Amino acid sequence: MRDAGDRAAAAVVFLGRGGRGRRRAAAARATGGGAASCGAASRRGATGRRRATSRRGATSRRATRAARRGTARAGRAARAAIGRSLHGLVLAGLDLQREREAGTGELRAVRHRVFTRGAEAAAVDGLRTARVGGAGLVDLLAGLALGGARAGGAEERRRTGRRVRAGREGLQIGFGNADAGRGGATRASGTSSRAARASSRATRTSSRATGASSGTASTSSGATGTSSRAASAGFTAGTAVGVSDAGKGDQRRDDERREKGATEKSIHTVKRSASVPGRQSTDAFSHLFPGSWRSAAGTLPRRAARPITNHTPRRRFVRRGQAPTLLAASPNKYTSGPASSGTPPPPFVPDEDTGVVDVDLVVIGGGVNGAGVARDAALRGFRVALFERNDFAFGASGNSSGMIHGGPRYLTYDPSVTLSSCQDSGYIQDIAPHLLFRIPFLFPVAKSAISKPMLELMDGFFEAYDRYQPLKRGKPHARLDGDELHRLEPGLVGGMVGGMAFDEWGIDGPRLTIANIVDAIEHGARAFGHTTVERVLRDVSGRVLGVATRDLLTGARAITRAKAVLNATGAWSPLAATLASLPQRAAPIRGGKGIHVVYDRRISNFAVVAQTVDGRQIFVYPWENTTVLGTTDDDYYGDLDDVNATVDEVRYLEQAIAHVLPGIRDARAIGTYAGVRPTLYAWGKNEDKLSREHEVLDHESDGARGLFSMVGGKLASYRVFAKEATDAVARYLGRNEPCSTHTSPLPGGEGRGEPLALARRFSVDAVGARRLVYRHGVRAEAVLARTQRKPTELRVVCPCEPVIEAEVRHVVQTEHARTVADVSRRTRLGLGACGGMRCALACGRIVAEETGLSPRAGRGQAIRFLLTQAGRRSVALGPVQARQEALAISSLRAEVGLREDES
Amino acid sequence: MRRVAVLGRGIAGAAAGWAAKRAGAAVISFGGAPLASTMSSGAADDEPWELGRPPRPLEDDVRAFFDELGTLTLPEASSALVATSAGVLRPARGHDAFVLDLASLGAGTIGVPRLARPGWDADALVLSWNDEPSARAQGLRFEAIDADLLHRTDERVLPEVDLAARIADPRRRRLLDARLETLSKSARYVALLAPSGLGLRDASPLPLGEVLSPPGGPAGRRLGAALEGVLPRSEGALASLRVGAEREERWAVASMGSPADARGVQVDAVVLAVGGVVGGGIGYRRTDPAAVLSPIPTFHADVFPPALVGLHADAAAIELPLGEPRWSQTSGGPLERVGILHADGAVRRDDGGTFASLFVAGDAAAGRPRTLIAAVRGALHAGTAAARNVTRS
Repeated sequence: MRDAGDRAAAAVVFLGRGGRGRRRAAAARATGGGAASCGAASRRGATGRRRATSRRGATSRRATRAARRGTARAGRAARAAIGRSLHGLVLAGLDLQREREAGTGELRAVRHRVFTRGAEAAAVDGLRTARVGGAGLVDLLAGLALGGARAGGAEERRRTGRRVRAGREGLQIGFGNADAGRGGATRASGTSSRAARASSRATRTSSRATGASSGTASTSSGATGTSSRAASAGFTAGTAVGVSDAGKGDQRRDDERREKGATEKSIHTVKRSASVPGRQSTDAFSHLFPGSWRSAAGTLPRRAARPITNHTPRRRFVRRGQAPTLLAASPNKYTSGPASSGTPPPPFVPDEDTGVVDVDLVVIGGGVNGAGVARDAALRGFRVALFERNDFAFGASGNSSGMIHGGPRYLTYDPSVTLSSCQDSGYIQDIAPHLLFRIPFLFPVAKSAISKPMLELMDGFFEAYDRYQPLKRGKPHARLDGDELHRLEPGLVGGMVGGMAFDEWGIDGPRLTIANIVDAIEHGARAFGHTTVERVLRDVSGRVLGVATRDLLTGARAITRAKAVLNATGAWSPLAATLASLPQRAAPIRGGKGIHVVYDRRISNFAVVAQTVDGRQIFVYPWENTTVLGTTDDDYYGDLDDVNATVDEVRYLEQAIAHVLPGIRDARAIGTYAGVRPTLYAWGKNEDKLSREHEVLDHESDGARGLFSMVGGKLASYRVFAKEATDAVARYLGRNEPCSTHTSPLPGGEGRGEPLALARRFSVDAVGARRLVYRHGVRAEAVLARTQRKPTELRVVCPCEPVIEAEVRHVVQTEHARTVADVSRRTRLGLGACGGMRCALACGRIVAEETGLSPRAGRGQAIRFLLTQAGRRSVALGPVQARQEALAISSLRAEVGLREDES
Repeated sequence: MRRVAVLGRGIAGAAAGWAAKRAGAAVISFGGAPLASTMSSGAADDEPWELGRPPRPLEDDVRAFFDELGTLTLPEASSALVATSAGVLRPARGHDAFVLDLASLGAGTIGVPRLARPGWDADALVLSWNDEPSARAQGLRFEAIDADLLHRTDERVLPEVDLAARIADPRRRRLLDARLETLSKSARYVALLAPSGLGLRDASPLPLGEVLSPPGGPAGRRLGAALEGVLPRSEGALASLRVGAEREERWAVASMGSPADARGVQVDAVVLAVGGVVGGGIGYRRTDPAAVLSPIPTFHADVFPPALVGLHADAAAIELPLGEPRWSQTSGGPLERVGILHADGAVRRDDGGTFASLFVAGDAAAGRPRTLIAAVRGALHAGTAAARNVTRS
């Protein structure tokens, strides 16, 4: 241990009592020196004799001195700079303040504060009484990302040579000031030891502990040039700089860091000595291949090659809460004066001569964000028209994990996302109570050398997360031991020493989107599915005039004049920008493909978190009446209208989950789905680490007045994002009606549905009634009331879900479903165990009847749906299922043939 | 006398064994009951019917085999026209004897009784069938009629197979005949089209035929029963199948009795006819089931050796020479892709050559349309070749 300094890397210090800490340090050293120790100290035996470790190399000595200085500033707030540093500024993080017993200096409590941008705006202020464990690790909570606990810690250590690798989920922690106690007396008695402990607080949390403010126990990296990927501590005076992810250690990131203003001295260019298997190793070269080489499906960029360069010009954008300087709308010929919010929206009257419709706002894109804006704007009395190229919720909105989660994974590096997620989760529960269901999570920790501190860290982490839980009616976390874990989830294998249970909310993404659409329509908006915007029309000055659209099913073209146009097309954003003759980079996103595998029933009680071969976090979770396994996050450059999971992706997920839940291999996969996240564009970052934040872009700076884009975001925060976008548009339009989307209920959320009463009253199956109420809330009654007028509509179309004929007709008539796939998206028809084999044809018949198509056209839709589903299933089938699938397909072929072109 | 082992007792196995026997070989037939063949809908296709190709005349041996079976009717040179409960009218090269052949009826009105059977919505079906170009071309019209052909209420919910069995009861049959007699008085209908299970084979005053069967329906059952009679079942179950020495193609079939006391039987040729659908009858898995990294086999996946090829699920496994018959995708739809690569029925080796005495028939063969008549044709060829041990290489 003492000679560890020759490969000292950074402020990685081992705290140990007696020999244990030494052994750990030695073990770490032996595994590659990635987390070599410096400034380590051990208290020996009962005598408490401290022993400052001596080090070779000037760097390490400096580190020790720095550590001692750190202790001298006892009582100073320690700041964990978490998250992305941007030009040396800390965007967000946790503020830690420790309270200690007066006499003994024992840690009594930790006060933490989540701050954003400059530590001024304290988002959540919490005081928690720290549990001072034997290991003294309590105040390391900040260091634990959700990704911190790893089931295969030992394995990971072997592979990467890191001692404690607190998760790859983004752990960019630097402790501003690793203080250790207040009293000078204590310092006198055990400076070195305390320094070591203090530093260890910072570093145990992360082997790649990075960033520290001046005068702390940070060291610059060792001079030896060994594989000290542990950390390069970038620090600037007085400011904690979170340096991103030294653990990744590729040249590109180091360059990035250099750009970010970290001092040259502090940066140690890390050469990867041991290649990390999986995506990380490929990441190292991804900058050489900016194209599509990594897209697993091997799809070539058909329309959108990565359009954005590293030199994307900075644009003005409306960040939340900031008044944009350029948004003061000057009156123009389309700007009407602000209307009072009480007046109903004027009707859409097409111009008698031209058939042109005038609106205030055209929303392009019918995902949850676009639908949210349409609803928000309609509630404020704007005249809105929404155009969606495919079906509503066709893209990421309908293919997400289906959770309104509080975003614990962002807590350590983007706590504002956690906050807004939790807050909005609460709002969504208010406005659509029927759509949410609780998903309890289980985070098992496998037995390993670090499992105990890991549990402590997780405990602390979730205590921090518990502060947010009340916002979304969540329950506080529970710490479980191994036995409890196995009792709760008997399918778990492996020597689990314990774990955490916490909870999140599940939601049906398509239902949420449709509810927004329906509400928007009921407040005067118009929404058009399967209608593509062909051009955004602009006048000579560049100001938008409206859009030219085409109905993709009928081919009908139309013009809609609008004062403002909002590009809410998610992953399609760069493409949509080109419709307004803007370059793709005007609305940049970095599309991240995520896939999910669906199993035919709920196979676990809890959502179970597991880790993939490349260290990512994935989970298998009971969702509605199925189990879902997800998800991946990979750059995607292929066709956005046709995103499919691949065999490799399915195996990757299944293999990871089988480590903890081997039963997954015997479960019956009934499908996969895939979508592309419209994450905020960033160059060079790993996909997982891209921010889930969102931005509203005003394209006035691009010369397109009245054109706005929504980029980034996630399902859980759709409402607040929509509010911000609508605010921006309202400012442009010179209107000031307040947002009411968080108080006004969504359709169906006006009250509580009574499934059993409905089942009795309309003599339907109780399960069916329950599912109907889940999807339609109190409006389930309206659906069932149809059957009194026409009793044949009680016929069950889809036995798996179940869906009755009345519901199919209802969604066609009131929710703008125009094809079998649309009905499926709204009712989950055909998404159950039979894969639509028993219901798609019947549904096609009904849709054809309702939409005035021929029976053959309806059948063609059904076949198209069935073949699409079969293709999505085929990548996840086991041998037995392949047999069933083949039987099903051959019988389908015998009955209807597999020709799609019938219409 | 050459001994030929045929694995699988579906339609391909039956045809291969039947052909080998005709060619003078001693046939040992392994396998349980026909599986995928019992899922037949009652239509026999030569090429996928959606392609709309004109029917080809059938070879003599194919026709002879179907005559031996006796459940399927194959018109000489024309296509039959059959209805499906999905509202489709489709051509078929041959059809189950209980299925109504609309092509033989000429022009006229066909009555579709409104019955409370699951999935039977007479009015919707009539709408859909009348919309079919083939019906209009032939001058066929469908009309929903009120004719309760079901005798008891339980017949509303009986599975198709049980309903067919009940109708086959002479007393029940007499009741049905009486109803049809009454209906025929009106004489407006050339025939009645009924849900699966309710059809009659022999012409009554008013022909009453079925639509195609759902999977596992009566048509498939009838075919399965007929197949059982073609070849005597060998005693005992197949335990394993081994190649004697690499490339030496001495086939030993360990069989006859329980796996524990299985005796080895030397055979001269082996026909694999355990395809089912999509290699579906062929279960394949890694030898080490506990292997965490075991691949999830899919339509598109090659199966990496070592692989076991099972007859059904896990029951009896055949150990194939590792990596030799490649499981791979060739052109075609998802159903056609997977299977054992072969040249004219003889299983292909890795090096491009073929085994001299290992054959594949039916849906186990890759790159072939999954149709009944094509399976029979290929199986007859493979069976004959196995018996004579001559292959074109």
